[in-house]
Amino acid sequence: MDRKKTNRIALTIIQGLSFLTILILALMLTYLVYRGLRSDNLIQREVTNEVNTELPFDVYSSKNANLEEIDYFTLRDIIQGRVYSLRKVSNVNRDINLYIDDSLFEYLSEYLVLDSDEFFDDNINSINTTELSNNKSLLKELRKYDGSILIVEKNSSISGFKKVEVSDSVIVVNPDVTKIFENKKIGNLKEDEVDALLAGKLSSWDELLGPPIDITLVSSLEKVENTAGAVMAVQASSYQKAMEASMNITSLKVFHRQTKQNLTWNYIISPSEDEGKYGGIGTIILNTLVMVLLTVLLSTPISVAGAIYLVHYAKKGKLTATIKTGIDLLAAVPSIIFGLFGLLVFVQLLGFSFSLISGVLTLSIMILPTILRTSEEAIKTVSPSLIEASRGLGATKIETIFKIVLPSASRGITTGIVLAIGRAVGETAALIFTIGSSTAFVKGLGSSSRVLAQHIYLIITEGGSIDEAFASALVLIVLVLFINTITKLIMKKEIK
Amino acid sequence: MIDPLFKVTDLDLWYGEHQALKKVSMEIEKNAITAFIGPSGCGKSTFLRVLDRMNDLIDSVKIQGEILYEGKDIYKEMDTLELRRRVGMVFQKPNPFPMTIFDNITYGPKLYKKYNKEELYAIVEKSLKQSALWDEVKDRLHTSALGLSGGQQQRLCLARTLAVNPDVILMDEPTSALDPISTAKIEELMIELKKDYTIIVVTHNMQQASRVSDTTSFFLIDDNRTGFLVESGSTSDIFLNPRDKRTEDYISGKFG
Repeated sequence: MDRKKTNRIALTIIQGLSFLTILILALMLTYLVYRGLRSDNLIQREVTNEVNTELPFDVYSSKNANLEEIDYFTLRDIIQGRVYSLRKVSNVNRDINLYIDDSLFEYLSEYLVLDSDEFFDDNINSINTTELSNNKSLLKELRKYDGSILIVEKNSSISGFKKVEVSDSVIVVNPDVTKIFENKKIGNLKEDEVDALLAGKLSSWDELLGPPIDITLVSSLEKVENTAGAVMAVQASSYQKAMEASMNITSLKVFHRQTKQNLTWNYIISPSEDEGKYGGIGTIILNTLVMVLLTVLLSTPISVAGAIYLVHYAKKGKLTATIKTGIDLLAAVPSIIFGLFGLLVFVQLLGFSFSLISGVLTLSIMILPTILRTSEEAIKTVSPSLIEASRGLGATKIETIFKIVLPSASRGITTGIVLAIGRAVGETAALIFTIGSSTAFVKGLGSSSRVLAQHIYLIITEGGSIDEAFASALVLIVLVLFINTITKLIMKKEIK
Repeated sequence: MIDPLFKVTDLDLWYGEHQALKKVSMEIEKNAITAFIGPSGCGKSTFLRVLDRMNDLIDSVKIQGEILYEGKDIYKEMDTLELRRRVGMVFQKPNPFPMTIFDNITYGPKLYKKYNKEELYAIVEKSLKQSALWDEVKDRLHTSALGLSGGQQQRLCLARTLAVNPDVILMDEPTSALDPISTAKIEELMIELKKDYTIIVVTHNMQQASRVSDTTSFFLIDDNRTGFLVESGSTSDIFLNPRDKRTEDYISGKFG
């Protein structure tokens, strides 16, 4: 009875722990994949999240512009020429080319509260919506350039672009509301706070960390100016006009939760720009593949030969035991130390400088013990009776090793190589000191290059966007899976 | 009497410090089946492995004495690889290579010469027919040899040995891992193959020795765990009128 109970308890504990492990892994993977595919950021804006669908014009951007929504003030800055590149708007390194329907200038001037001479003419091309929708070649050209932004008549039949929503609702309040009171000041509003505020569900500003003034919903800007605690939502153009008329009002900033597609096909294939700040990671992926391929090609023959020697040739003695201990020690050495070694020996002493060859040599040495030890175990487990059978037929030792031992051990050797690839692809520390950081595709063994794992490290340390880091991370995970599958397939074919 | 195929004189063999065989002298006839019998550890397998120099694979083995094959000293006057081609071996446990049946058989021949496809197929067919496996596997030559049953695997190993066209086949307890039906098949084959090959078989099975062999050698072990040859003679003599008391005791099941 008691033994059955312990058995059940033990089983429950083991099951619980295994479920926990699986849960943790699944959660982590899900999070990585989610963050890789979707970006999810909280930004502060002067407008609420309400999209204006009643504007007489549509804004389109190129599909690669990474732009899904734009606020009134950014649009105004773009047309004024204060913002001339997509870099600040959506982290794409392209200057903006504006195409505006000529019938819309008047309305835009009214809507954005700009005189016609305030339009930044250098960047603005006037077009006709109907003509444009029929001009296939021009459309094609505009689609090709990531920085194209079109402002055209509503409901036009222009395809191949992404529609950009415009939000232009501003929360205007009496300036008293934003005054510091008891060391507190009203901050940025969250989405649900905006809804509650405008629906009249809140009674006093101190519920939003403001001063203890009653909230009064009013319907004109004059009332906002004159009533303490007054608030109203207005279209941004009215607010802009009121500001230019020096009315005594102010606006509340709102947190905007911006979720959009993160990893795009374009990001995967396009080359890196401005040393990894903008653009994609196409060249970096290629560099990673080249680096791993060279490393494995260099390291595998050496380590497998070493394993064969240790199992089939080396006399069992103190020297062999010492060598084996040394190999185990190397396998346990932190990669940063291999990086230091590479820096001193390959980069400086041998004068290879920061280059692909320095990185490849360093990594080859680093993964050597991994492949060697797994291969050694695999070679050891090849049944002696097979070796005897081969020798009994008159095969020499080396013929037996190549025709019987290595094919039989290939599964174990593959495991070693796959493990080593995993280590090489994910390596950063050994590479930051040796391979350089150029984002261009390597021109040769002597040129500096950057690989994915290192790119993620550099994005974070150089203050790049977290979204990009996650996108690269997802690509890296898929890449490792891909390389492992390929390696296994190749090895399986060789067994046949 | 015709010249013996093997003539062994005063063979001593050591594993490191331990002497495993002492003063073994024996003559082995051509085109006959010679059986080695004796209790476990008496060195009969070790002696068998001397005949195609398989003991060379173990570093610590030291050998003294003279072993003549067709009048030539195998340690001084013959090439090891050539000796092993002419003296094939079938092991205790079936040990086909983890390849297809076809590749298993062509493995040996391909070591010596380049053959074209037709020649290889001819070799495979001939060896498989000799080992009475052809009918069972002719439709699946290109499937893995590991899919065969134990008895089939052992006959495949025999076919693999026959494929390099040897003169002698050494068999180290070839049926000890097999069921009675497979054992009977192998024994039939041994008698069949006797016409063209010299067969030397190590066996624990008295009946097997008396059923198939023409000559029997009886090995025994002394107090220092050193094996030695007690007597050697025609199988009927050894089983019916043993000269040595110890042979009689062993055969009648008093020890061993």
